[in-house]
Amino acid sequence: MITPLVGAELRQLRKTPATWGLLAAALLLCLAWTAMVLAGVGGIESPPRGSMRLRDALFGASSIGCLPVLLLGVLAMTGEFHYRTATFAFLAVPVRSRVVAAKTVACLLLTPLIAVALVMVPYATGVITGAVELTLDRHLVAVCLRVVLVFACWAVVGAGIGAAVGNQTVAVVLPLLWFGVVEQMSGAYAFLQGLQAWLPGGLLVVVGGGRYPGSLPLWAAAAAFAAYLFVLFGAGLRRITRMDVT
Amino acid sequence: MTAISVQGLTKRFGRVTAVDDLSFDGPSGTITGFLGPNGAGKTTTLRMVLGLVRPTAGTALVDGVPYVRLERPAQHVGAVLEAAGFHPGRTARDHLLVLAGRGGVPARRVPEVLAEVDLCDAADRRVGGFSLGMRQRLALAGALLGDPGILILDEPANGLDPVGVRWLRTFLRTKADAGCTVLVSSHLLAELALSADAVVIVKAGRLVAQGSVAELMAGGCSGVRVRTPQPAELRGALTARGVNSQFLGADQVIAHDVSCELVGHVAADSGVVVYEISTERRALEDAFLALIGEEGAA
Repeated sequence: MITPLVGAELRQLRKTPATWGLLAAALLLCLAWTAMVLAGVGGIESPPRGSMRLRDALFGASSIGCLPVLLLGVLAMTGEFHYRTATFAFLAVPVRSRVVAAKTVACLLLTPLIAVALVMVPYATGVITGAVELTLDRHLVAVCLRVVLVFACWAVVGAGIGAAVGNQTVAVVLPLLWFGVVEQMSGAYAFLQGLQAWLPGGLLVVVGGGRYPGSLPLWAAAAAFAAYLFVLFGAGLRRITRMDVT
Repeated sequence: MTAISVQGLTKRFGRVTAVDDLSFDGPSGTITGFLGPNGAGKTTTLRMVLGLVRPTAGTALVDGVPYVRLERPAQHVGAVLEAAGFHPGRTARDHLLVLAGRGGVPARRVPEVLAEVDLCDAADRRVGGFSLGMRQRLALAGALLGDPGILILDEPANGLDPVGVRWLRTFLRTKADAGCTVLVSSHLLAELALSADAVVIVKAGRLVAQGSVAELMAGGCSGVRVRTPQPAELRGALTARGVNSQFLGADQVIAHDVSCELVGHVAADSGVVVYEISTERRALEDAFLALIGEEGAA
């Protein structure tokens, strides 16, 4: 059941232009990826038309949505401080941890819609262009559920970063650098590959059902990911509950 | 009964003491003006009362409990603290709907408060295009959502035009007459003199004075001003009766700590022609400046 507080946070997200901007960006990136996949059909080492591999490649386009979903969490949490609306939020709800929790839940509730949209848009494009056939099977449901889970994790990471950092610019740039540079480097260099399994991005690959050389078992990845969240939200709640809203 | 109680409130930001052992009460059903020069600690005090700033020492109670322990704060206290705290991309209606949801207030209150602050026509416009006065009205609408019994307002007249200021004055008086407690900080002293029942004056974070507006204005340098073509004769007669007086320009005398009637009798007894006689009341601004020790104070 959605509490009035979560409902208010959902409304706030819905009525914030940045939310729709991020969704539009996610859809555009997803379509661009889809176009690249479809453009390669028939080429060497590309999945053939009508194959399950092509279908999975199209589903893979949804992964581009991780970043916008992460930023959605960041903006939901930091927007109150960026626009100095935290005064209103904490006047209405003086127990500040409840505001943090409601924002996180609101982001979580939005992720299934985004996930299904980003799975269905490339798939529908593939069907419309005749690259794959329309098959509403269990595999499609499994993909949707997996993407929902992964997006939910990314949204929570974003909310945690937003809570812990506070400054919106830093909270946006920091994960972009981390996931775009640091984690990419850890995957690219052999001597850093042992590290990748312990970094949030590497853990989320496993949580989402993926595997790579040296990856942790699912339970260990889930536990390590939960530990990251614990640290982020612990730091965030400490900062937010102790800060003077001036 | 005391709706707002501040006892020994202190706030230090590093080495700076913004509020220093401040104590005052805001009685129920009254308008209490909260006065002080810039940097006196007014806003910090109000934010401590509202649980937004953690006091270094002391307590601030609203309806007998700290603000953060109120069950449904929006239905106890409405606050206007800063005009800039709006998301520019959201409409006034959306801003209020979010506040209503957070405060557990029914959404039907939103159009009601928009009408109350005369913002119905702008309800679906983005706040980014609002004037300062419109933002103040929107902030006030937010404060009224829960129909609270206490209003805490920080410089609410900022950005309002004269019509808006008058509207605010009438609005606050109506609220107070209906039993609402209002604590309002303002630098518009004349405005507060017209609307406040009592004032709390602070300087450098410390309490300088607290009392009714009438008490503050009565103290000190009230007197009786007389315009006459014979100022020297009048002053001589007043001095003979033990009344302290002084010249004001070429044709006026002001007599201190004396009634208008007595001055009239002295003038009549001594045969002095009087063109005009009036009781000189000290303005709140004069009292304020005198209390905070500013140069040029009356």
